[in-house]
Amino acid sequence: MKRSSRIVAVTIVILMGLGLTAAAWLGARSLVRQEGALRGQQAFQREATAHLVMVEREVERQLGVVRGLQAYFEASEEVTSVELARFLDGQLERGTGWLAAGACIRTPDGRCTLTLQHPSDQPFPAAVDGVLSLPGLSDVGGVPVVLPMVDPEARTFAIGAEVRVGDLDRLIVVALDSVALVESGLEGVHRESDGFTMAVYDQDPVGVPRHILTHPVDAPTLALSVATRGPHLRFPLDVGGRSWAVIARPGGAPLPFQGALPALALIGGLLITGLLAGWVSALADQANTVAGLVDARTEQLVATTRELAANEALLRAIVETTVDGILVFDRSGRVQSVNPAAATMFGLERPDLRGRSVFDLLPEPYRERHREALGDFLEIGHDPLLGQRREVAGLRPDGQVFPMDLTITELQTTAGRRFMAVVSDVSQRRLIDRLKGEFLSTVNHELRTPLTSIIGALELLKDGLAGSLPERAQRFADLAYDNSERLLRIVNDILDVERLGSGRVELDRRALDGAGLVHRAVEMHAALAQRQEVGLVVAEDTAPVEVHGDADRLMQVLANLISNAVRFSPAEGTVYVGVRDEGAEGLFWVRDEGPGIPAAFQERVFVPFSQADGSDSRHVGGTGLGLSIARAIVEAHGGVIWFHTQAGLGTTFFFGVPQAALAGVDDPDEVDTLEEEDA
Amino acid sequence: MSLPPYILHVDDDPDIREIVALVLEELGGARVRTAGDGRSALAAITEEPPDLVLLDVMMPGMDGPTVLQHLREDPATRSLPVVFLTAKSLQQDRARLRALGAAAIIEKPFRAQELISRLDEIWTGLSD
Repeated sequence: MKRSSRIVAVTIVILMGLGLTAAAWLGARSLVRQEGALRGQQAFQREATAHLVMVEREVERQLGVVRGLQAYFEASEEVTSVELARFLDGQLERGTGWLAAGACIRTPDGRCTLTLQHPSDQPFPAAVDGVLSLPGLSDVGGVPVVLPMVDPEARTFAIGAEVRVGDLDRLIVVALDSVALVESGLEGVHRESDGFTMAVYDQDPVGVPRHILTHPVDAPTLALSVATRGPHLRFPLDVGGRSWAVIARPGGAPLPFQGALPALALIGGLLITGLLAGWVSALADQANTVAGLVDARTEQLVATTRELAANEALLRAIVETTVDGILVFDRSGRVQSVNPAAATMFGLERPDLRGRSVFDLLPEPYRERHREALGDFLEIGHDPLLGQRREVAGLRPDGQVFPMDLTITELQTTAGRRFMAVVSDVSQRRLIDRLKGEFLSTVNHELRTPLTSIIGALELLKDGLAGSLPERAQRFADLAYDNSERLLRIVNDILDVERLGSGRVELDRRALDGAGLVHRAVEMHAALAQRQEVGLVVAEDTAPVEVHGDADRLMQVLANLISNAVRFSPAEGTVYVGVRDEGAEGLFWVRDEGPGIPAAFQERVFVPFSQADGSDSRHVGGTGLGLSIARAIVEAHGGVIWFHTQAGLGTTFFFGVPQAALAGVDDPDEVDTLEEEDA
Repeated sequence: MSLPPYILHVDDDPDIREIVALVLEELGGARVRTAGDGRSALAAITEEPPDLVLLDVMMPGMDGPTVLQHLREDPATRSLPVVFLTAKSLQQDRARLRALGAAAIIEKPFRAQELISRLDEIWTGLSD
């Protein structure tokens, strides 16, 4: 989800929320208003009814008073205020609860004198020219009797008055509260009322009130109006020669808006809208976040998948095109998958190769040996053949056997433990090796045959078999003989280097007395050392140690090292030869007191045909092959050869040969792998 | 020092034949007859059985080992001592030659004294 859709969603929620809130608010308000109006009506009606009852009673009372007055007046010519007061007192004693009662006596000038009496002992203020204004009248709920209309100055009157004047003497107007009597034209200044009840009686001469319906509502006994709004009742009234308007302002404004419902609806609606909007926004946010994450993950996944696919394609291409055969097989030896090279090698189609037992591809004795090895490995978790490149043979379905290099490694796959065999057909290599061997053999033979004659003839010549030679001839014969011998050494050494390098040397390994070898080597080179005027001795710390080696070959190593040492020793120098027990192996050494090996040459010491210095080497007569042969022999024994040299002090060559006890030599079948292949 | 009195030396190289004959006769005091190939060697042996045969390995026609096989198959020559003189020095070759019944194998080139002392050793061993 994108940002824009989130905005749209939130907007929709807010709009819907606001709409619903508004609807709820309006509904609630309308409900409350109706309810308020109803309650107002009911309250007003109750009040009005109560008032009417009071009014009626009062009218009754007043009529009584009036009748009393009439009777009193009829009995006396003149009524004084004192008399009236007395009368009224008498009247009031008979009733309670009224604030005042009044009567108007017509005077010649049309004025009316009003006397009022409070039910308490407090006298009302004296009538003021027939006009009585009672502050707080409505507060005490009294119904004054007023005769205001004749006051030429009066403009408005609060009604609540009983009017009996002039031609209205037959009328009793009883009003409550805020009914105003306003002189026409001055209506605008009157005070608003909160509601009114008004009854106008037509009083017949005998005092029996008749209803005068001045109210638009024609009711039998009472003109009752319940105000709701605006000027409700307005009718003209001519009193005292002036024109008045009775204005009853309704209980004005409807009851104030009451009830928390609309507010609740509003607040609740807004709140819910806000919450909803927030929630939707959060949801949208979350959705956005999730969508973002999903997008990112998807991209990542796509990239990874692409990368994996590329890797997979590369790996597949490598496996498919490699010249080595690759077979993957399971614990039982069942072939699971093969590459084209493997199929070609075994002369089968790939599907035919799949499902076959990998052991069927090996001739005996390899088949049984590998079957056992796999079984052992699965059982004890160890297989010495695993991870080792070995030369075995492969078997094609047509029975053809071919030499094969085999390396088996273990694979942990999701499908479980698997093994991978990497195979290569080494027929070509074998053929080349054989041809090379044959070639060397021929070269060897062809070189040795003439050398045999040369050396033989020179030996006979120099030894005087052809008669004694003149001195110079003898020297030449010696020289020729020495060099033919040297040539023979070179031929021998080259052959050795090649054989050792190709691993085609058989070692006749036996338990050997290392110290004995040292002694013999020293004896054999005594003559050489003597000729060079160099001391050659067995080192004092030589100790008996039994090594596992080929006596002739180890002697060859010692011979090479000793002849080097002697040749490089200064006159009167000494060469020490020794061997000692170094734990796993017998350590041989040959030490000279020569000039040391030049730093520049040290790295090439064991490289064939390398010699420290051309002129010097010729002087001392080496072939440049001795040390490389020595190293090849030592390494064929599983040992290491190295040297330690100090300029001007001499050089010591060391080489280790495994001890017999550790090699299990007593087993006569114990043969070197190289021999086995040649067998 | 005692060498076989009569030795047949078989080698296809005339120079070596000459030198060997010279060494054995001059230094060893033996009588030497030579042959240049396998067939003439067998003929010479039949004609005049030697005390010992010095046999080259690689020869055109019939080679040394074949000659030895023939000798071993013939009851008359079955126990005739045969010493190989060979320029082939591979160990497996030596093993093969020993298996055929060679009394000794001497590597070419050889020193005159070495040849004589080896033949002396062999002949002394056989005489005992």
